[in-house]
Amino acid sequence: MKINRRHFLALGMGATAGTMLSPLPWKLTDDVSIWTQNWSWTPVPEIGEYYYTGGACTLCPGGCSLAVRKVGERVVKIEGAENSPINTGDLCGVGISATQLLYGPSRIEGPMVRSGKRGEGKWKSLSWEDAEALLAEKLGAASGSGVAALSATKTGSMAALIQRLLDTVGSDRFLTLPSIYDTMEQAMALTMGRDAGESVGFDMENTDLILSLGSAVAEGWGSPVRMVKAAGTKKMIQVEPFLSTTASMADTWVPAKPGTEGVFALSVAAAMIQEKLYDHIFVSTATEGFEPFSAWLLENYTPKKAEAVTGVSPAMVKKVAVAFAGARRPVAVCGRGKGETPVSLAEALAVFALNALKGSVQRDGGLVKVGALPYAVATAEAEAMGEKLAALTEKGKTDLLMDWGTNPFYTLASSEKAKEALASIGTIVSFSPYMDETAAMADLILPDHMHLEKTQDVPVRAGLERATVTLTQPALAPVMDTKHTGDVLISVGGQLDGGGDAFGWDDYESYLEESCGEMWEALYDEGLWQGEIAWKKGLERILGTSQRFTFVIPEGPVYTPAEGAESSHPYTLVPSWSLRIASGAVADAPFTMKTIEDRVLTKGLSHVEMHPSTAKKAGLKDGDTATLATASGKATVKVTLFEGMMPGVVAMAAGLGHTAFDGFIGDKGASYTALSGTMVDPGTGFNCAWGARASLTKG
Amino acid sequence: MNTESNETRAKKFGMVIDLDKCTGCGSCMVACSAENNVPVRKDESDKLLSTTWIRVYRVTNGKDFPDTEICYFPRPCMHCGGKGDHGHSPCVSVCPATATDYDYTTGIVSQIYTRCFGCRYCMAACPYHARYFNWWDPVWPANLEEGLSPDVSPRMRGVVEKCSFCFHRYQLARDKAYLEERDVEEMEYQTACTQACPSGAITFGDLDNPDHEVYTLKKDKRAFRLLERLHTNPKVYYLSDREWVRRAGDNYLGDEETTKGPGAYEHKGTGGH
Repeated sequence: MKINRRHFLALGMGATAGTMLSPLPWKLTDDVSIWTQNWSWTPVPEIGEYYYTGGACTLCPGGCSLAVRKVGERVVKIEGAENSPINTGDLCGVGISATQLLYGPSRIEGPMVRSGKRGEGKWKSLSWEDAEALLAEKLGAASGSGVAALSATKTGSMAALIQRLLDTVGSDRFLTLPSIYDTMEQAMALTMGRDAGESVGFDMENTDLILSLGSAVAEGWGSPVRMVKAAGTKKMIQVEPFLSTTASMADTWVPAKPGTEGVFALSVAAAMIQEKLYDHIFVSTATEGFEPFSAWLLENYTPKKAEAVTGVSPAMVKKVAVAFAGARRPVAVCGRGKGETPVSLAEALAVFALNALKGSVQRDGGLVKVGALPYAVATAEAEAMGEKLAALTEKGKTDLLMDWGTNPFYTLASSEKAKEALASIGTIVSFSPYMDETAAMADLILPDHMHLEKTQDVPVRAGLERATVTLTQPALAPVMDTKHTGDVLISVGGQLDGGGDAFGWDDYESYLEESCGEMWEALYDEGLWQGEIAWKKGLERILGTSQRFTFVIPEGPVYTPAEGAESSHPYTLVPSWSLRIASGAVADAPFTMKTIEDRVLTKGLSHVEMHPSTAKKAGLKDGDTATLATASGKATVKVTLFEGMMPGVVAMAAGLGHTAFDGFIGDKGASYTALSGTMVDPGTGFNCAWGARASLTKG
Repeated sequence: MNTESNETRAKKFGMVIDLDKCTGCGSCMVACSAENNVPVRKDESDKLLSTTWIRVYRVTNGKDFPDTEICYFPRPCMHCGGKGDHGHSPCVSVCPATATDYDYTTGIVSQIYTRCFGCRYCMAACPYHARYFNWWDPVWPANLEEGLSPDVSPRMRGVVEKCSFCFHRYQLARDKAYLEERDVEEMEYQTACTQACPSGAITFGDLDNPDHEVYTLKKDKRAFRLLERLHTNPKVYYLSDREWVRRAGDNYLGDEETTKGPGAYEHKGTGGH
């Protein structure tokens, strides 16, 4: 038969139309998807019994308790514990992502000793017995004063054990990472009296107005989950040089020049006194030193005088004073960002004075004393911590450094000089479960379990209104060949001269129970111990003697300008904070990295935010690559324009610029800490750097 | 459609997100990733490739210092019902493989990985950028596979994925309720993001059930939905006191009036679509 073109086309179209009306193409799409998806390497997660175990998070000082969801022997999800009074069933992204820290590529597999050059990354595995013997040998050989140890906590069973080890070798160099609580505790000692171990808290639950002097209330200050709830429900006044989330959520945002928050606080106090807006009864019956303090204030820190420093108009100061005074139970807080850096003693005293002017001291909604934790094995109060920390970053002063959970090569490396000094330490010992910057530079690693694999008390120091300790719980058997540092210290301590008696426990668990004393029962049964609300109890409350405040005229400068000349470094670099970027010892896990916006980090470069006018001045456009330089170092960055920035101020996210851990976080961005430099507070000796003068050049 | 159920009435699961409470903390994003075995790449900064079933966007009011304000918008899949809730979601309408389908009993738009052959037509159709494609096989280095949940299938390359309103949680709650011969209660089925939100900004439940919180919240005068005028009929409502935030929810021209509340445009019956 003859098939001409017309027939051919007609047949073709008919066949196509018919096929489309048949199930064939649709069945084919289903088959294609199945044929292309039968890969053997696609994981099929094992099923198992579903249940929850408890636990506590140690990734920040916040003190949250965990509900760890398991499927059989595997941990699949971390959630907040419902019955925790601190985080009430919620958790920040960093805490939730801990599953990936547990199972992730930054885990250290077992005890290791360095086999190549320092920092080269060459390791030799050894047994626990050999590793402990090696540590004991090195401690025995070192001179007492050359040995230092950094502890993640200032109190607690582990801190006491570390102190005991240092005592045995004749060292008093027990160090912790400084924070706002160190400064506030010293301010409390001067104004309210402080017994050993007492700390500072804020009754956030009962306040009706939070005046925050630069604190990242919604981005991780204090106990993060607790504060996020406060940010959403309480009236807030945020004092900060750029529009953070906290500032945007606040009822009033006061853009004060960076570093001047303490001066602003004093100007508000002066305005309250000038306008007679303070609590006369409280001041006259429960305080001392008001007259000289008020005279000093009105001489030096009137709103008009303060404007030259803060850039805030007297009208705004008065507005804040009226709002603060008009609230029934206002509270003023300080500690820039997450409070990971101390403020000057003078600044803390200023903020405390503000609270006292409204009688917000030792009462509902205010600044309160938090009782010492009743550990049966006590930790000694570390004196002159500021000087001791400074000695760590000076060459030639340290022969052996032990790091338990602080990662100083990231957290204390505030300049090239500091990093060099740390790198010159004779022997570096790390107990980190993760290959962090310090472990990468260590000579000996004795990896601890991570917080989901061990039992350990966690003394909480996060501005809670009462003394609190949580307990980590092993959700599963250790994934790697790790050992509880408590067990390691008991074993190593027992091998030292004179250590036999001091480390007489069989193991850490028996020591832990003894150390926790009266707290153990609650810790063991509920995973949480809390003291009474100190200011509400007993005779002191009735007599009103618990509410005593002394106004102290600060000795040191309330405002320390950033180092550097304006001509060469015309901008001011400050850090920005986020609950999406862990900025302490442990870096973000992969899930949390997903949450980092591309206006903060792109392709391994940190962004710096600046006002369009600042960019114009620097000859930069949105998205440009630039070199950011401070007196302490330099970094390649990308430019993000944001109108919420104070002109002249440049902000960079803290917590990036890690050079270790794993391929997800490693070598991404620049470290703010490395650029921040040093501002020594004469009052406490701590480094209170709030920022640094910076230059920006294109390219 | 399931046949083993005591439910007599169709549900319409939806969400209400209070933008005045959202702090942009990202807990919802991390909880969702952990709950749903979401793949991770070494470089998560390339947002065209980063898979985030729920993503928190950030908008500003456009004003200069010091009058600037910001707001965060968590954006899960909207589970669009289409005009009149007849199930003509933009993505469902275009899928050639019925890999995505509208479930009339729950209002949830499903995504069946084993039916999807990766044409990405649904991604083009979705106005909310809620769908993500696996260009490569997800890789789980070290022991990360140990942390995968068995309730959600890990995907392979060539497959589109998106928020499922934690449908696996609904399945578990529904099965339990069936055995106990009752209906699923409000708090028994909550998505991972709702559960994780520390400020309580996210509320989840049956939009048609007067006993559920979302039923009341969706009628709040502060409520609005994203891209209302596209008639996608999304199930996620947003609450804000701020006019500029409401206006950020759609593409308004100059001095166009802000849409008065969810569904207002639909009921007006104006032509043009």
